[in-house]
Amino acid sequence: MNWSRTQQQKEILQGKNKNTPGPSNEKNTYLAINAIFAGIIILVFIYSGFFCPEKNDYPLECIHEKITGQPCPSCGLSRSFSFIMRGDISTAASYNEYGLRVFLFFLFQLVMRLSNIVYILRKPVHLKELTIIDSSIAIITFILAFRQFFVYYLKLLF
Amino acid sequence: MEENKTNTGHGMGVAALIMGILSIVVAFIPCVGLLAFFTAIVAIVLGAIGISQASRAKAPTGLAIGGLVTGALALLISIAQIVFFAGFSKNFDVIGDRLEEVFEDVEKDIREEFETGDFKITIQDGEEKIEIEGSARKKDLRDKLEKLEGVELEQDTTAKGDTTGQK
Repeated sequence: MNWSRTQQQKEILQGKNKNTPGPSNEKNTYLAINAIFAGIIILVFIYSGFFCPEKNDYPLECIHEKITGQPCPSCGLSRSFSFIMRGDISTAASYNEYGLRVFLFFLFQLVMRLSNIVYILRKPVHLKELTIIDSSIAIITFILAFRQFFVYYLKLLF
Repeated sequence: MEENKTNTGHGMGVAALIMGILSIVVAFIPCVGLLAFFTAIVAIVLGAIGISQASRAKAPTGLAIGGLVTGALALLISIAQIVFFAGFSKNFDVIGDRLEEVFEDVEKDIREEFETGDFKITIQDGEEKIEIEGSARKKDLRDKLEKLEGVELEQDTTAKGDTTGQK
């Protein structure tokens, strides 16, 4: 019986063969997804820190308010984020009462993504279990952070 | 027998999943929820391409399906918003027409009131009843004033009107 691994099997295990799925390729995919989301969240924070809430020079305007003429629950979220980035929590809350909660969700997600990257790189992990736990935590925290917006949508529809 | 699976459609699947998750987050923010319509369509297209490529090469389709599902969910949410906005703008037209009608009615009433200018005030306390009748018409008021003063004011006012007109 030949116990030696073929070259293709070795490449799969080492993640060198890009055209074949294997544990290392799945790991790389998971790393890439985490890195992209971490990058997006960092961009959100840079956007909030870059634009000045006093000048109100944000490029994105509320489409809801433009169409209906009425403010929506997420109005003032950018200014709220900007004030949080500047450490002014009370003013941030006055602009949007859910701002801090949504900001904490993004911050938590950033920490999760970065810790996942470090954890995967340093230790061999059971990727399937980690993905399930990670997704579950992300969905629960998302619902907790955005629940007022869910309620708003439900009110709109029914 | 060893199954030789390929990695075809993997990149498309990853892109679809990322776009799909982003679309859901954006869709749930009411201010920018409409923008999710476009990103969700991109996620669905990428997911569909990923699935077709992967299934042709007998490669795993999990990521592409995930992207497609999240994209479809985001699309549903943004469509719900579009339906709401469409309904609102339709109602707004109806409200606008109604407001115009109300303004026209009020204008008509005011014109009629000033044209006739007659008024009647009735004060009743038990059996006692007092009725005051009068007129607010410009012509009647001028006649009364002329009677009281014994002077014809018509010429003066016309002259005044002319001078103001010239100014």
